[in-house]
Amino acid sequence: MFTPREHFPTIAASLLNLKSIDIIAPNFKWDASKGEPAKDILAARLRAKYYGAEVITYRHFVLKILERSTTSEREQQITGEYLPNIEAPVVAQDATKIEDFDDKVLQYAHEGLRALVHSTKAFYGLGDPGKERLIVTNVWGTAHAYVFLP
Amino acid sequence: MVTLQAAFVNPILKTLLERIISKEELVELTRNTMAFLQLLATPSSALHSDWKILRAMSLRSGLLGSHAPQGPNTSSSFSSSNMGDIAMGGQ
Repeated sequence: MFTPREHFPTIAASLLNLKSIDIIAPNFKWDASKGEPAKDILAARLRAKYYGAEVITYRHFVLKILERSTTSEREQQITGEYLPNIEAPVVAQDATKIEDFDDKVLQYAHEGLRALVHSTKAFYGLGDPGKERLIVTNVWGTAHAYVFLP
Repeated sequence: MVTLQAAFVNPILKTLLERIISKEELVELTRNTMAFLQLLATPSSALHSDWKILRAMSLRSGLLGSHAPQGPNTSSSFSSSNMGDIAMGGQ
């Protein structure tokens, strides 16, 4: 039987480091919870990287729900479990309905979806992405990431 | 976009996603991403393949909207006359 835990040090530690962005880059401070796109290229790139890091942190829980609610027992799982020394919410093997998932897993999945949306919109403040070419170091890598990361 | 598309058609994740963004806004994100790819992708490039993958997923998920965008321009910018090829006229 899966017993929910109150504290998940590894995920919480990752998020704490991430949220110290306003100390690391005080001149680019913004309200990350709102996902407002920046209007200059440097700030936009910083926000895109920030939201991308959030996606990486939360993505496991989004993929686990996708996996558990759509695959049968015989199909190979899409994502591996965390290593034993990583403390994170565990998704029960037989979870298929929303009631089967721990509240913390659903919360992290919700945050992951939010980060996915924000990362997709990160460059929208620079103009119409379909008309004005984005000037970044590697626009093709950025475009590919746009499709397969969010 | 691939993960958001999958979340949209998943009954559990869709419940969570609807609290964050509407279907109309997701359609707009999809179309913007495809337009972004269309601007950059050259014919037969990897980005062109990405565009086709995203378009196929969007058609199935219903997130393409009413006007399905056409692909990147596939006509070649080079012609044989420009390249100096010898014309193969029939005899």
